[in-house]
Amino acid sequence: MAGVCVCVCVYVCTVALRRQRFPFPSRRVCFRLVWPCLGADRTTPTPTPTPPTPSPHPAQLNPARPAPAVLAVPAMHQPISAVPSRLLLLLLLLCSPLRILVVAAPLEAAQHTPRDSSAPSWRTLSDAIINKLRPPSVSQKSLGTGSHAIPIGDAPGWNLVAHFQDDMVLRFTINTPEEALAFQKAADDLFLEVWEYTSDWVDVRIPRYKVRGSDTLLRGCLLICTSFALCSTSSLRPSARPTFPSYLASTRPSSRSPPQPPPRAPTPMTPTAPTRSTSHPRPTHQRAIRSSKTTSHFPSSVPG
Amino acid sequence: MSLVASMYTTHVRRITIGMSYEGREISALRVGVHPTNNKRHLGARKTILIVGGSHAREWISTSTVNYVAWALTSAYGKHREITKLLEQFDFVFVPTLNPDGYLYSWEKDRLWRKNRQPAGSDFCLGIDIDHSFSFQWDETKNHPCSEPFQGNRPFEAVESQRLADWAKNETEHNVEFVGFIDLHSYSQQILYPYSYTCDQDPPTLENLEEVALGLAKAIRTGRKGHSYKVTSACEGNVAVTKKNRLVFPRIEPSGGSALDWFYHEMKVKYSFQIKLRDTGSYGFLLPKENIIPTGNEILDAVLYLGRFMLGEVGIVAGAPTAQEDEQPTRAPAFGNGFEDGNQEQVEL
Repeated sequence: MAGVCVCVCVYVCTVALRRQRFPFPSRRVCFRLVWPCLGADRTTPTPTPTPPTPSPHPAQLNPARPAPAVLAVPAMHQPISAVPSRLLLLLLLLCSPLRILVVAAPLEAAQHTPRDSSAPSWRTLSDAIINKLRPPSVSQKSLGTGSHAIPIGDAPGWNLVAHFQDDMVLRFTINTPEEALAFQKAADDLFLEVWEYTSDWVDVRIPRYKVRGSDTLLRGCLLICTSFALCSTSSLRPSARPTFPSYLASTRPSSRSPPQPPPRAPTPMTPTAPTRSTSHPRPTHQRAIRSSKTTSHFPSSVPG
Repeated sequence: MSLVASMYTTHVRRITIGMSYEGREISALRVGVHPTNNKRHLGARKTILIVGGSHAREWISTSTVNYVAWALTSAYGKHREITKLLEQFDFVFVPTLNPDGYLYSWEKDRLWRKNRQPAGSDFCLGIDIDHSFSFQWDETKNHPCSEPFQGNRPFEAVESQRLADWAKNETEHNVEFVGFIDLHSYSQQILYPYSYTCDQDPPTLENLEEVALGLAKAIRTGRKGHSYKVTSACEGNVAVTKKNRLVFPRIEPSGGSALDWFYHEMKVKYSFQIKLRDTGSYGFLLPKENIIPTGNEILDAVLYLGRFMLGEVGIVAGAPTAQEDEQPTRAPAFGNGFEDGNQEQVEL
């Protein structure tokens, strides 16, 4: 019932604003406002502690920006349970000039999600209210403190490696011209991405679906390879992520905690040592996996 | 790089090789001390060029170039061997020859290899810079979507054209390139020309093998670095039987490499391509713990190359004899004096 009241109030406000020729998609805003209100009845958010040293307000950094309205300040700094949020929301929507709301609302959200200045003001308003009523989850909170905080989801290395989830790297050992020919044909036909190659082996990055879907072509190569190493039984993602500084910063141990080993990929690309022996002409995937597990992550000996 | 150039104004200059396809600056550091004794005719300035970041995803090559540049720069005046080296040679460090691709690998695709230049395909961007040099450019038509796509004509990749133009221009202005090291990853190999074929031996094969083996030994024994395999670049690209020298089909085309171009076209006698760590455990996704050890490995290799060219190790024709009593007047140096011994390690 309360949500319906809020919706009606918002709609009235919207109509009033539209009469002032303000672009305001009333239904969408109404939905965005009412939905979190209804959801708050079922999952009451826990009070979030106030940060001990709040970052300076953008108005302090930018003198040209007006200070927020006094009316909106309590709503920004008190826990949601301590404020009659719906009533306050209603009062804000009905009584406050829109200009004050737009300036005051994104105070906290702007620290987490840098926003395009050209974004519609109504979107800024609704996002700020929604963020207040339903605080972001822990995974979305900042890595650092202050105005330079970077959300984990936006930090380099997290989103970029997402598409490596289904990739893997295979190592083929090549000993004869027939093997090289077979591999070359497979690489050309499948558009394989050759990572590196020496006179002994070739590493290929390949999506899993190509391994499954192109069984015939690859099997033709595998059958003639005297040694085949499944370099990574999982995706490249765990290996790619630690190469970004943001990951390193997030895993940096604190001064009080004991030193921790460096972050390592759960399943590094571990090639088996190439074998020249032809006594095992048909190693299978399963055998290769077992052999790779017994190999050290940091091989002490290298080719040559 | 600007900071280093401003810190060591006596022997470091930041220079620009050219602009990338997307308009980014290909920056470099020129490190060296030019004698100020005008009475002595010194001839062309001997220069060693060290390049990294041709392939965007090979981040360890970029960090290694930076590491070696910093090591040489900061040790001038404090380390006897490096001081002498910088007085005899100029070093030009190009950490990122492919800035567009490098940035793309940071922001979009960690495993991007080529540059970001369109080349005849609406769907796939990029040309492999290390395959687009003019010497023995591979004419076999590769698909633009393939990783080693060499472009539709020699030097179509803007970055390779800029590097070649800059190098030629330098030679016209009293510069003689005597060494070229192209850093890549991975597989821990030291490769020498030729890359495009195994049928043609380079004219200075003996010297190349001698120095390459010395580099590998310096890496392995200097600070207990990893073992690097020494071989011809062509053999690193294809499988070759050791006994009857049967060349297997190529996995990838290997013409048009920077290694061959500098060796053949620019007459750089000591041209090498070094593929850095590791041997496949992590590949391009090398953990950060390897940055400094890899930098030390290549620093030891560079110091060995310097000693070789100074005539202190091996046999090299035309090595400048560093006679202590005929030292030319030097520019002001940092530090109070030189340490004793030629083989001391550089502590950073």
